[in-house]
Formats: sequence, C-alpha cells, structure tokens
Amino acid sequence: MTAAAHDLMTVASLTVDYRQQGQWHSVIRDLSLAVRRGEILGLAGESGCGKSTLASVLLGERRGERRLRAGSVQFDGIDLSTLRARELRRLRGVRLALVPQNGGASLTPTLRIGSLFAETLRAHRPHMNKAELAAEARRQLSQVGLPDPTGALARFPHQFSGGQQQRIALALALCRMPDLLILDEPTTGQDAMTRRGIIDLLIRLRLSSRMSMLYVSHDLATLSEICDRIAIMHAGEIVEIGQMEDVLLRPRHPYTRALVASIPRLEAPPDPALLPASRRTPERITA
Amino acid sequence: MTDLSVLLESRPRPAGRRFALQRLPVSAKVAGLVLLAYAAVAMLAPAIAPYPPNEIFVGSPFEPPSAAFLLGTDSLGRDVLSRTIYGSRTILLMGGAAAGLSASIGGLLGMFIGYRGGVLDEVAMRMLEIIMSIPSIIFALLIVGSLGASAPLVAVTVGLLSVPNVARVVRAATQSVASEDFITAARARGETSLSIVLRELLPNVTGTLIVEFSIRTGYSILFIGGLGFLGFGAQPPTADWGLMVNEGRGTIDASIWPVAAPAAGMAMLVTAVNLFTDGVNRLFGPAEQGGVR
Amino acid sequence: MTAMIRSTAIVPQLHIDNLSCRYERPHLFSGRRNKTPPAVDDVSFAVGAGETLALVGESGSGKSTIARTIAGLFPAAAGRLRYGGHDLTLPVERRAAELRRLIQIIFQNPDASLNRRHRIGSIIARPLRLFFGLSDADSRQEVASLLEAVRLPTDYAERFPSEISGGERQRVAIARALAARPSLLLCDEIVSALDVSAQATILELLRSIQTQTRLSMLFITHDLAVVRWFADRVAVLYRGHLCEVGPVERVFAPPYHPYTSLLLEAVPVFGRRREAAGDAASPAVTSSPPTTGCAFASQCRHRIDGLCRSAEPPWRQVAPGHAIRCHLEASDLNRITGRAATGARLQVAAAQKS
Ligand SMILES: Nc1ncnc2c1ncn2[C@@H]1O[C@H](COP(=O)(O)OP(=O)(O)OP(=O)(O)O)[C@@H](O)[C@H]1O
Ligand SMILES: Nc1ncnc2c1ncn2[C@@H]1O[C@H](COP(=O)(O)OP(=O)(O)OP(=O)(O)O)[C@@H](O)[C@H]1O
Ligand code: SF4
Ligand SMILES: [Mg+2]
Ligand SMILES: [Mg+2]
Repeated sequence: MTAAAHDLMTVASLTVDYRQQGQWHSVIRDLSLAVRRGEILGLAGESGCGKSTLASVLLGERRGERRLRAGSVQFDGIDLSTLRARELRRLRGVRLALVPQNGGASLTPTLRIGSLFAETLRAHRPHMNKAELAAEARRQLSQVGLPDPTGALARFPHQFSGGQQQRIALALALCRMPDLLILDEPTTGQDAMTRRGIIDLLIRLRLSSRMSMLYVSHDLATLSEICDRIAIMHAGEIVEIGQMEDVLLRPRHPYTRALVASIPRLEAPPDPALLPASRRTPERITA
Repeated sequence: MTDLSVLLESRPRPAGRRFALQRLPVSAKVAGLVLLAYAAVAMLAPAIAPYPPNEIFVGSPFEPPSAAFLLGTDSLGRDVLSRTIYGSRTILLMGGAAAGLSASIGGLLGMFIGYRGGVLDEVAMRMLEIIMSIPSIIFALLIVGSLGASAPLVAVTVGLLSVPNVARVVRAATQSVASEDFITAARARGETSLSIVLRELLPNVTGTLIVEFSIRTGYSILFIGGLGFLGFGAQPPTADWGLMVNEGRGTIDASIWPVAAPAAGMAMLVTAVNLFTDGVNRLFGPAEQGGVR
Repeated sequence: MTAMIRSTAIVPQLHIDNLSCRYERPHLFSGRRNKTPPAVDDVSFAVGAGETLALVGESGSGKSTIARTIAGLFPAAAGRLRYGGHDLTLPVERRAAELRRLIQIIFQNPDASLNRRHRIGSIIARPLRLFFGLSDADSRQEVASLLEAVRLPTDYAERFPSEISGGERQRVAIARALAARPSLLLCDEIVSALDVSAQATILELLRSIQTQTRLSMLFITHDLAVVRWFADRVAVLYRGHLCEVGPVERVFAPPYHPYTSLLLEAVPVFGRRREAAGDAASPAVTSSPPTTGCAFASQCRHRIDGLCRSAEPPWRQVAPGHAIRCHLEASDLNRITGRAATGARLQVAAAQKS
C-alpha cells in the first residue's frame, strides 16, 4: 500500500499490544488513519481508549513493554520501523513533534526555561547566538500567552502554574516548526480565553506554514472550532472519521452520537441517559 | 503493506529494571563476568588455594614458578598464588565495605539535605565542601596513623572519606525529584521525613546510588591498595595486595612474582570495576534517567 | 466586605479571610525582597458544609496556590484561614493528624503527584494505612472498591502509574484522596482529563459522597459547563484578585463582571469552526498587572478612564449572595455585559439544528 500524495502520516491496520504480567494485551486494534498535509485532524474518545498510545507510536517511540503486532506507520513515505534510533531521533527533533499529555511533567525539572529552549533550539538553529536564542524563546513564550517571558527564562518549570507549564511545553514543540505536530490534550488546563488564544495561534500557524496537526482532546467543542476532520476512537479502534461537520453535527455511529449528545452544556443540565456506554465492541463507520 | 511484527520482534527491548543488566554494553558485561570471577575466587579461597596463605616455608624462599608453586614463593617461602588468592578476599571485603558505607551514609545524607533544602542544605553543603577540600590521603593517614592501622578501620576511614562525594551527587538527583507533587502529597499525608526519604525518594534515586556505589568501589579499592602499600592498611602477615607489593619490592631482583601477582590482580580488578561503572552509568546515569523508568 | 460575599444559606465551614500569598521570599543571606506582585491578593470566601464552591479564572491566577495554602503546603503571607475550629495558617506538618485527614487535596497534574515507583494499589492503600492503621492485606478490599468507584478495573492495583493512561492516573489520584474520607476536598482540575462518561461517573460519585457525608468541596476547573451544573457557588479569580462571587445560577446570568463576561464569551461554540483570527487576539496580555486600581483594567472593555486604574473597585452586592467587584453599577453591568451569553445561545442553536 502506498501513501497517497496528500497524506503526511499514514497508519495502516495498526495493532499495538502492551505487556502486562507476562501477557500481551492489544490496546489498538487494526487501526488505519491518515493525517493529510496541512490539515488539523481531531482525535477524541474515551479515557484509556489508546489515544496517547497512538500518539506515541506515531512518533516512532519504541518501548520494551509495547509491541506493534501488525500494520505500518509511515511518515512522508518513510516507514518508521525501518529507521535506526538515531534517524528517528533526528526526525522527531525536526519534522515531528509532540506536546505530551500533562506536558508540565515532561519538562526537565532541573533546567531553567531558558536552557530548555536553548537545548531545543540549538538543534534547529545551530548558528543562533545566545541573544538570538533568548529572543526567539521570548517570542515563543509570549505567543502562548505567558506573562513576563523575560523573567520566565530564568525560572524553573515548577515555578509556574499547571496551565503555564503546559503552555511552555507547547511553545517548546512549536519552536521546532515541525511538519507534523501531535498535540495530546494541549488545552485542557487552560481557561477559556487562553484556550481561544492558543486555538487562534494554531490556526495561524497552520495557515502560514502549512503545519499538519493531530489534535487529541476530550473537548469536542474545542475540536469543532479548530479541526478540519475528526476521528472518534473507541476501545482501540476508529469508529467514525470524516469532516468535522459530518462527524459532529451529523454523527452516524452510536458512540459518536452519544458522545455529541452528552457534551456538557452551559444552558442545559447533563442527562445521564445520554451518556455513551463504555467499551462495547464497536462497528466502524467511515465517511 | 509490510508486516512489521518480524522486524520489530527481532529487535526486542527488554523492559524495566529487571532486565537492565541485559542492556549493559558488551565491555561492561565482560567486566561484570570478571568481577563475578573475582568474587567466586575470594569466596572459595580456602578450597582453591593450594597452601595456607600465611604459612611460612612451604617451599624455600624465592622459588620460581613450578608445578608445586604456580607463582613461586616469596622471601619467607610462602606460596604467592595462595597469598594472592586470599588477598582478593581482603581487598574485595574492604573495598566493598568502604563503598557500601559511603553509598549508604552519603546516600541518606544527600537525600535528606536535598529534600529539606534551606538552611540545613546550605550549612551541610559548606561543611561537605570543607571536608572535600582536605586531600584524602592526608586525612586517611592522619586517622589511621593516630588510631593504629587495622583492616576494619581502614575500610571505615576510606568509606567515610567518600561520603561527601556521594552526598553531593545524590543531593542533586534528589532535588530534581523533591520538587514533584508526589513528595508534596506525602507531606500532606503527614509522612515523616524519614519515611519520605526512604519510601518516596529512595526508589527514585536508586539508579544514581548504584552508579555511585560502583564509582566508589573502584576508588576505594585503589585507595586501600595504596594505603596497604604505604603500610597503613592491613598489617602483616595478612595477605593484602598493597602490603604484598610493598614487602616484595625490596627483593624484586630475587623474584618478580611476589610483586607482579598482586599488582596484576589489582590492575585487572580496577579495570573491571571501572568498565562496569561506565556501563552502569550509561544505563542509570543522568542522561538516561527518563529512559529507565 | 467578607460578610457580604459569604453565602447566608449554609453554615460556613471553611473561612478564608483576606488571604494573600507571594512566591518570592527574602533571600537567605541578602534579605532582598522581590517586587513581583502577590500570586493571591486579599482573597476572601467561605465554603459551607456539604457545599461545592467552584474556583474559576485565568490560568496562572492563583487557584492552585489557594488550594495549596488551605492544605498547609504553602504559607499564607497574610490573612486568616479557619476550618471549623482549626487554624489553617499552620503548615501541614504542624497540623493534627485528624485535620490532615479531613482536608484532602487532589493535585492538578497526576503525572507528578503519583510516585512512579509505587504500584497503584500501594498508592491508594497508603492513606488507609496512615489514617486508619489498616494493614496491606486489610486494605486490599477497600482499594479494590475505590478503584471500582472511579471506574477502573481492580487489577490496575498491580500496575505502575506509567502503565495506565492519563485519565486513569487522574482517577487514581481521586481514589487516593477519597481513601482518607475527607470532609473538605480540594479538587484541582480533576475532571479535565476525562471523557464525558468518566467525568459523569466521578461527579456522580463526589455528589453522592457529598449528600451522605456533607463533604465540602473547593472545585477548581476551567470547564464552565461542569461548574454550571455541579457547583453550588462560584468564585471568579483574575490574577490573584477575586472579581465575582455568587451562586452559580446568578453568576451565569447577567449582570456579569466584565472578566466573567469575557470568559463566558470565550467558551467554544460547538460545531462552529473558528475563523482564522488576526494576530490581534493574542492569548493573554503579557504586561505586568497594575499595582493600583482594578487588576483587570488593562484588558477591560468597559474601563472608566481616570477611575479604574487608580482606585480599587468596590464590592457591589447585586443579588443576595452575589457580589461583583467593579466600579460600574450593577445596572450598568447588566446593560453592558448582558449580551455575553451569546456564545451559550449559539450553542443551543447548534445543538437543535443537529
Ligand atoms: N505501559 C503500559 N502497560 C500496560 N498497559 C498500558 C500501558 N500504557 C497504557 N496502557 C493501557 O492502554 C490503554 C490506552 O492508554 P492510553 O494512554 O493510550 O489512553 P488514552 O486514550 O490516551 O486515555 P486518556 O484519555 O485517559 O489519556 C489504557 O487502558 C492503559 O491502561
Ligand atoms: N514556585 C513558584 N515560584 C514562583 N512563582 C510561582 C510558583 N508557582 C506558581 N507561581 C506563579 O504564581 C501564579 C499562580 O499560580 P497558580 O499555580 O496558583 O495558578 P493557577 O490559577 O492554578 O493556574 P492554572 O490554571 O494554570 O493551574 C502564576 O502566575 C505562577 O506563575
Ligand atoms: S473596575 Fe473598571 S476596569 Fe475593573 S472591571 Fe470594572 S469597569 Fe473594568
Ligand atoms: Mg492520553
Ligand atoms: Mg493550577
């Protein structure tokens, strides 16, 4: 199977297992997905359905307690499994970036924000001198709405609020200008105004640099604001994928329908009867 | 579409610490085997040494290597091979004890000051720096010279000498963990400092401790060997490598074996420990800490 | 002023009066003080027994700091904190064990608040042992039922935190706090990592515990829809300053504080793609906050020139238990900010269309 020219990242019939107490359990089952060039693809689904696992596999991360039992992951025509560790690291540094879930915990606690940026930027802009590095870091930090970017460079990650740490992690990923940015719950810790600011920033970046994004979130309303297409994941499978309007406004799969119906709303109390049932064997719908 | 399973399974990566040793570089694995051999020799010394180590005139003085005395005899007609075998016991015991002492005391101290921080940390760090600024050899000679040389005292002294070095490294490792919320959560539960250090912090700095123990073993072995050579280590007639080199060096013209055997034993041991340390450091060291969860 | 903000309907239990917190402490040797503004500035509120007070506000506005201060994990620079008869200005180390048990905090980031070297089972069992003296064997059953209560498989007890998903970790942190049977629960952003079903489970669980034990909750979240239907009262925080306090149904209806109104407007509209905005709408103002006058003045669309930047705005009681801190009169606020529910209305429309 060759990747279509407009697909940047293709996942074909992927099955991923975790080892638990000596046994392999599959967490992702026969999943196929493509992120097109320049698009923002949303990914939503139950907690524990395998979204972060998918993100990590897309990044080519290899871990001992995990195996790809079947399927392939191709980035821009390159099969990630054929790459050596060093090539993968270079790819991750330059063309692929991840904002991990709970990004704050991913910041090295012993490094000041300035050093974190210097480390990240040095790989990309080797000719930048110290002052330029700092200026670029400040620019990135103010883009994500961090107050006092200059003072921030001299502080340690734990000296920021949870949401601020998350935005620092986002800024660190953005400053690499990757071709594909994977965002795992990037705005869950942000207030509505800050979240809107980040959404606008991502939309601008997509327009100006045609950055592709995979945006993982539970927040369907936010996904609907930013995504071109949306994939709904359930129990390790994609049960529905299509244009944002089709999936969210005219959902066809029962799980999606329940998910949309039970979105918490300001104007009406939640109705427990609408909640999606958990972990049923899903049937798939592809638009 | 390619099926990856074969590709990926041919390159399995063992998970978790249980398999950590399998991930050591080859040199470190070889070094580890050598160390195991040393340990076996030391433990089985009575069974494999052909003669009692301290019995004089089992042969005539300065016999060259022969079938009866594989490494010849020394000036008192003692079997060099037997003494060298027993000497491995002395050095491994003393070196291990010294490293264990420095790793445990230095580890605890480092975790405490790293966790408590503030004034305690400032004061403790200044004191450690002062101690470290005194050349260790002078320190050791002072203590051993004034209290009298004996193997346990030497081991304890050398161990204590390394405490500041271990404490500093462990303190740094602790600080990066101590700012995390699970430590705050433990405080909120009302855990005692001791239980926070042992229960919450210790499991998160074991990698650092293993590396430090390994480094300190290499250092202690060399240092104890040196002290023995100077006559400040184990006392005659103990079969101690440093002492043996010292005793044999005046009569090196008569026979080189009483010097060469313990010196070679020492050289190989130190090399093995250092290679092993390198490997362990690569596994658990700061650069890899994220990777070995 | 404090009396005005306090809800009259419920007997208050937790009292926070004029709390201020700052992060920079004088340097050990130089004694130099940093001039940065306090992270929490003169905040007062109360939480009654069996009541849920939601604390909402900008990221970095001091919500977690307030929770940490109540838990005794961060010193208050000024103010009085009381819980029943207990003085909460004491650090957690000097509090009675019973008080430590009664006040439980669930931290914002579960990745940092769970020791990655401990198994889930032993993480949840720890409070059981510490507060109730249960042995590991005795607590096994309770750990299992706690896991079930937060909708996790019981065999997760054998796993390490790195072996479960982000939302699952969050639920482990919740189970650990509930294990102590608290009477005041400080929840810092505990449902944001959960999908609707898991979120409903947790909220339902908390509510049933609340009705059974009169549990009080300080519920920090950014999810205004959750606030609207889960909390009893809301306090809105902006850069360390409270700007609005009141019962949910009143805070979510006009008149709004200008900041609350902006916040509500920014709630995403479901099903409507956001058009590429010019870079004028930058995420947040990066200038440092003013030291005098209204904290919100630099971003406020209704600022009164000559007044707002120089004089501290007064608290205005706009309805029983509902207070807004602004120079504008309630009637003016009503007129100006009344349209802020636009976003919410569109949301209804979108839902009805589908
Ligand atoms: N190392 C591991 N070993 C075993 N099982 C694991 C491991 N990591 C994750 N899992 C399991 O795999 C499933 C998927 O986890 P993943 O983190 O991908 O979920 P997720 O969709 O990101 O959920 P959330 O929305 O809660 O973050 C979960 O049920 C989790 O328990
Ligand atoms: N250790 C620290 N040292 C210095 N400043 C800090 C420290 N921790 C937090 N701050 C600052 O104090 C302010 C309040 O932080 P806090 O964590 O209370 O915010 P928050 O309201 O919880 O935000 P979020 O919603 O992002 O979690 C922030 O501006 C933050 O930068
Ligand atoms: S006091 Fe003035 S600046 Fe502050 S919110 Fe009211 S109108 Fe706006
Ligand atoms: Mg996840
Ligand atoms: Mg917070």
